[in-house]
This record gives sequence, structure tokens and C-alpha cells, in this order.
Amino acid sequence: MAGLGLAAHHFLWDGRRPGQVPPRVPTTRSPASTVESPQDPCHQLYRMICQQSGTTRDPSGTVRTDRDGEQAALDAYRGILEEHPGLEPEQAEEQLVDAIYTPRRTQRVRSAFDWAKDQLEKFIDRQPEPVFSAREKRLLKGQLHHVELQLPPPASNYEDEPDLFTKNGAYYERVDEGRMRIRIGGAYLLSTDSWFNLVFTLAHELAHSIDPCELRALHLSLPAYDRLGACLMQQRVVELGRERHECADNDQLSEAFADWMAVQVVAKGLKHFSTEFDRTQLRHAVRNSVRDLCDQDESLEELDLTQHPSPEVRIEAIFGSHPVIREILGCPKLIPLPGPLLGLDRACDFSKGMNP
Amino acid sequence: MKARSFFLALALIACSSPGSTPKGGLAPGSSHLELSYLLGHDLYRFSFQADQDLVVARKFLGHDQVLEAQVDRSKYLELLQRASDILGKARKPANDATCRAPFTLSVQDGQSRLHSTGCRQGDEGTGIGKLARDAEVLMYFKK
Repeated sequence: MAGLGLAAHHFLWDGRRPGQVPPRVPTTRSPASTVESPQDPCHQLYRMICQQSGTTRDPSGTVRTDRDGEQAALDAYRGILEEHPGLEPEQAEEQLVDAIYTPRRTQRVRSAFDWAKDQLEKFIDRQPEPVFSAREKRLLKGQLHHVELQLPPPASNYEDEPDLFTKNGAYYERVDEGRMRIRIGGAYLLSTDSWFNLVFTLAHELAHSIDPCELRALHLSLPAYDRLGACLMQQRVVELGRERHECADNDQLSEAFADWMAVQVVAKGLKHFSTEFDRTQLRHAVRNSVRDLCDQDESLEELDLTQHPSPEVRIEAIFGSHPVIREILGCPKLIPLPGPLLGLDRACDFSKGMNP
Repeated sequence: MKARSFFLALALIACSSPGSTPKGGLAPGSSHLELSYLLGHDLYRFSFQADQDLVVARKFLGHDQVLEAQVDRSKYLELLQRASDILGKARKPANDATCRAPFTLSVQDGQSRLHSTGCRQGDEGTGIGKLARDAEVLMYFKK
């Protein structure tokens, strides 16, 4: 256990270029720390991932709850104000930023961002010509390329949103013509240092820069996206409300798409470590990849007013249907179904539904 | 979450929880300030209810009240004034198609009531982020 704690601290991608294979992680044969959940991951993946409360650990780091992260950020803020009661808010924030957005943490986030972006570009490149034309690939990669990861310090980077320092939010936004950025709340940095969660989160946010609704806002549409979207709807990953309008208010397509793309990326990372981690460690890495999806605000879900599919759908239908995830968890491949059920037999992809 | 859903969700949540916006006019010396916004997959709501010298602040995360505290009245009045100033300015309206960070702000002071909705995203002049920061600091650290 002590060895693994050390391993987590060395699990940085310092000095590596995007595209290099993930770093070698010193491992031991002992479990990472958390007790193995008794649930069958092939049929109860959501329960396996979400039932355990508190901190979950994998060989690369930990994931804590959103509230734990926010409390830690508020505690740090309180400590600064108690030590320096005369500070103006902006001065206190500089100190808070220095305490939260440390070089070690920000470097880790930047490394995960670079790796996720590189993997997304490679995933696009791997698609055969009938899926994406060369022009479409250039367009998608160009969008990804222009997304900026905007992190403090200085605190003034978030001058317009200083409340972010104590929040978990990690989000993508297009701020004006051609300018896209991802911002990361300070509480997230305090609640999460699992490399697998960082990669999933950043890949998800990056994918929003090329999601169907972003492209629509740019007056673009791609046939491959239509096929993927149709499959996600067919499999009820995207809820079909009585008055669903694509990309309009309350539509889940963009979030389901971002999850789906993020799964492609994190599956690559998990596959890489599948030969280095033992079975328990690997399951912990799988769990931490999407552990924070369990924290989705229940009030929004209860009211059916969120753009996100439910945590169950995100974890079981999007994450858990990926062939690599299933393989890692020891689950059987999805079996082809005949006749009218054709199409529900495997995970969605860009080519599903194409004429042979 | 797009803006319209956000406002509807907020109305439904706020209706049945403590600290929600009073419906009628308030007695002299009483006031209410409420700021709600969506960040990532979390819905935040800060509510201040003042009745003469007593000011009670509450913070909600979704349905759940995560903090209730008495706060300093003079600091609260400064916050109330800033919120009123923000409400008095024109701002970029929330746009259903693109807004990923909608907010709603309301101030009720005696018989006067101001209310506004908008989008924080790419609208760096709203002052909503700073107001949220100061509301949180007042709740947690300046009682």
C-alpha cells in the first residue's frame, strides 16, 4: 500500500510529448486500497462504481466526492482568511490559487489534457474514409486543436468567475468567434488526482468542441454523426422526449456524444495498463474513470431537466458497452442479435448503420 | 442544461424549499436576495433572507441545503446593493441554443422586486461570478 501511494505521486507525464504511450507505473500485487465491490460488473456496473461512498483509489490516484472537494477548497480559503484577516478578496484568491493550482496538479491536468486531445485526434484519423472524409477529419482536428485549457495561476485568469476556485465544475465553452476554452474548478483538483478520471473528464470536455450541437452552431453536419446519433437514440442512450428537438433545450445528444468520445479515449489508457495492473487494480482504474458521474445532481435528474443522460445510462450503456471496458471487466462480448433486434447487438459507432 | 430548463428546474426546486423568494411584498426593513446558477452538473443556489437585524443565509446544492448561517447585516447590505446594481445593467440574454452556464438573480427589498436571468458564458461583464464568490465568502467566513 505504501508503495502504491508513492506510485501515485510519480504518476506524472512530466516532459512527455502528447502521443507517447502512458508512463510506466510502479505497481505491487496488493490491492490499491479499496475493498472490491461484490457486484457483478457485467450486469451491475453502475452499482459497482457508484455504491461505494467516500474516496476511491486506483494505482494512479484517488477520486473523492464533489462535496469533499468543495469542502477542502473552502477549508483552504478559510485558513488563508484566518491567517491574513485583512486581505482583499483578490489577494486571498491569489493565495488560494497558489494553494490549489500547484505546479504538480496543473502539470498533471495539462498532461492529461494533451494526452486526451492527442488520442481524440488519433481516433478521428483511424476512422476509414467512408466514415470521415479527409476534409471532415481536418475540420474536426482543427476544432480540437484550438481548444485552450485555461488554468490559473494567476487568479486573474478566472477574474470573471472567481467562484470557480471552490467549485467542482470542469467545463467547455465557446466564448466568442473561434475561441474555445476549458476551465477547471479548484475543488475538482482537490477531489481528483486519478489519471483515469482526469483523462475521461478532459476528453469529455474536449469532445464538446466537436459535438453535434457545436458543429450545428457552426452550420456543419456530418453523416457519420447522424449515424452515431441515430444509434444512441435507438439504444435509448439519448432520451426521446415527446417533443425532442435535436440540440434544442433539454436534448441529451451533445452530452451522450461527449461521453461516448471520452470512453474511446479512456479505454485506450485502460487497455495500455491492462498488462501492468493486476485485476483488482484494473477494476479500480475502471471505476475511477467515471466515478464522478455518480455525483450528478439528483434534483436535475428527478425533474428530467438535465442534458445529461442519467448516471446509470452514462455508466452502463455508454461506458460499459465499450468492447475494451467489457474485456477488462471480464464480461462477454455483446452478442449479435437477429432480425428486428439487429442494431442493438453492439456498441454504437460512427459506421453503424452504414450500407455495406 | 440549457437555459429554459434551468429556469424551470429552479422554479420547481425553489418553490418547496426554505429560503425561496417570497411571493408578496416584504415588510419594511426586510429583504431577500437569491442567486442561482448551473456549473457543470451542479446547481447552486445562494439565498439571503433579512428581517430587521437578523440575516439568514443558506446555500443549496440541488435539493440539498448544505449551509445555513447568520451573517453580518452590513456586509449583507453591501452584497444586496451590488446585486441591485447588476440587475440594473443590461446584459447578454440567455440563449437556449448555446448557454451552458445560465443564472438567475433576484432581489426583493420591501415592496420593490427585481429579477433577471442570463448567461454567464462569454459575458465577462455580468459580475455574477464575483457576486457568487462574495456571497459564499460572506456565508462561510464573515458571520
